[in-house]
This record gives sequence, structure tokens and C-alpha cells, in this order.
Amino acid sequence: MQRAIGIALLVLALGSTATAAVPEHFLHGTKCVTDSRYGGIQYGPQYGPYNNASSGGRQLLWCSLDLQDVSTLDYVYSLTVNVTDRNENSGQDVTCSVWTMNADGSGGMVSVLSTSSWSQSVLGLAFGNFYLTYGTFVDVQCYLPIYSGNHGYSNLVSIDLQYPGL
Amino acid sequence: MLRLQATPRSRSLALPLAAILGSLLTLLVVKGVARHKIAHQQPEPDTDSQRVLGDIASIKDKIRALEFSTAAAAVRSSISQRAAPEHADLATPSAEEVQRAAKARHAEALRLLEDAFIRDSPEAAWSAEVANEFNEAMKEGTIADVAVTSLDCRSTLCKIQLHETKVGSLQGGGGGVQSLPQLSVFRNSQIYFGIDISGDGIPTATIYASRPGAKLAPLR
Repeated sequence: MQRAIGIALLVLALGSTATAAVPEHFLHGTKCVTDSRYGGIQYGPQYGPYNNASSGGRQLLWCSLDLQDVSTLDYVYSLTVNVTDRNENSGQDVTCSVWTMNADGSGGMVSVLSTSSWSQSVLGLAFGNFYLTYGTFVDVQCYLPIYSGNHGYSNLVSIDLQYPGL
Repeated sequence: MLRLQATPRSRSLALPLAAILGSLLTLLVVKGVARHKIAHQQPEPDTDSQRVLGDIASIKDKIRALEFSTAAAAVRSSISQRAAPEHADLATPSAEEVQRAAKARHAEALRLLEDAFIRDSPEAAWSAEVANEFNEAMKEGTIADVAVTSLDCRSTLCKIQLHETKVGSLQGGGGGVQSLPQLSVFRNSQIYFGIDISGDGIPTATIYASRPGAKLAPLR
């Protein structure tokens, strides 16, 4: 029994070593910003960042990931953006993209993923593995659909970042 | 009246008897005290053993905690070693080294994509679809303050070149490169872009996009 508890604690400790989850709630205001052209992104304890607008188009949110623990020249990360898409109308999906940018702004890689249909529960946009090296920055851009009135607000739930270790 | 009279013989017997009685009494008293003492001392060995057992358990806990932290530290060390064993002995590179390496990587990525694009076979239908959506987006203002220099989509890659019509529109603020994920033709695509400020001084962007659902194969 004691051995089992020890192993469970060890697994917990190792899990926390290999996974860096970035709860979006803690990023809002400091790491996530809305584009100046959009004013509908609101923040609340229930939804985190969500689109409060009931008309117009999708609203844009940028989140900058602070990866202070990058300690090797080439590092593989696996990134999943968890969202809710509660707008059932076509063309009003959640679209998120991950931007791996050169530090000097000369270019970079963009991976784009969208939800395919609305859902009451959280959907994971799995961007898979990507390389991160010194001198690159990672930003997550999400377009959130407007409030449709039927199912609730669409929101950005969290950004999960995992890197290999085990 | 009957009178007992001690004779010399009876006197000689009385002394040993008294001694025996005294011994018996002493024995009984000692035994009684001993019993009493034992009765009061009996819990003491239990308390001691409990304390010892408690100490042993505490020591075991401390050993387990030490084993746990040692194992965790060993695994952490192993993780960092395995993450990049070839770089384990390298110090953090300087800012100049970082910039040089980033530029080299970027140039190599653009070269690989251009080579792959040249080898790709043309696909007019995809080109038309992307061009149509670009036109719509520019009419609606989703993509703004840029002009399309060229647009050519082939079997696996699309190449688009844009230039600024307003300062700063390619990289930020307006609807330049950052608006590309809004276009449905790029939904679930992978895009690589480079911004060049050489030449006539007007920033131009060269964009390579994969087919929806596919990755940029040359960069994998």
C-alpha cells in the first residue's frame, strides 16, 4: 500500500516535470490581448476569455506563450488549444493558429486549426509536435465566434503545452 | 489458670520458627510489593514498544521521502540529459549566435519550400479557389493594406507574394499576414512565411501554404 502511494507520488512528480500546462485564466490581461479592431472579448471567472458580442464577426485574441524553460537548442513541443465552440452557425467556428516566429520578425511558421461543429463540451485543437529553438517565439491566435444565444458563449479554455521527457 | 511457661526447649524452637515466619512474611510482603509494582509497571513496556514502533515508522517515512526525492531528481536529470544529450555540455548560446542560427534556419526553410514548389505540378482549380477567397477578403477588408504580387497553387503547395500598400500592414496592425488564418482556404493548413525588406525598400511577404489537413512536407 505504502509502495503504491510512493509510486503514485513519483508518477505525479514526473508528470508535473514533463507537462507544462498554461491555464488561460492566468494569462488574460498580461499574456493574452485582443486585437485593437475587436472589442467583444470579455473575461469572466466562469468562461475565462470569451466573445461577448452578439453581432458582427468573430473576435480575435492573441496569447503569447512565455517558454522560459527552453533550455536546449532544439526542443519538440506538443501543443493543444482547448476551446468551446457554442455557435451552431456555419462560418462561426473557433479558429486557432500557432505562430512560431523568428525573433526578428522576418517570418515563421503558422499552423491553423478550426472546430468543425459546435459542441457544448470542450474541444481540443491538437497542433501536435513542433520544434522550438532559441530565438523563436510562440503565439497563439484564436478567433472566437459571436454569442448565438442558444448554447452559450464560445471561449478559450486553456493552452496545454507538453514536451518530451518520459 | 493455665499458664504457659516457656521451657528452655520451647525457647530454642521459638527462635527458628520466628525466623521462618519472619522470612515468610518478608517473602509475602516482597511478593506483594513486587506484584503491585509489576501491576503498575506492566503498561510501561507497551508504551516503550509503541514509542519504538512510532520511531521506526517515522524513520521509514523519512527514508521513503529521501528515496522519493532522490528518484525524482535522478529522473529530472535523466530528462534533461535525454532532451538533448548532444547539447548537454553546451552553455546557453550568445544573442549573436542565436540570431545567426535563426536566420540560417529561416533561409533554409524558404529554400526547401521553394525547391519543393518548383517541383510541384500546377493545379489551376486550387489557384482559382485561393485567388477568389483573397479577392473576397480584400473586398470585405479582412485582408487590408496589402496587394497580391503573385499567387500560384500547385499540387501540394500554394505560393503567394504580397507587398505592403501601407507601412506596417504586412506584419501587424492591419489585415496582412496575421489575417491569413481567417481564410477558409487555409483552414487546417500549415503556412510558412518570410518578410523581406531588401530590394526597393517596400516589405514583401512570400507565403507558402499546405493543402488543408496537410503539413508543409519539406519542413518535417
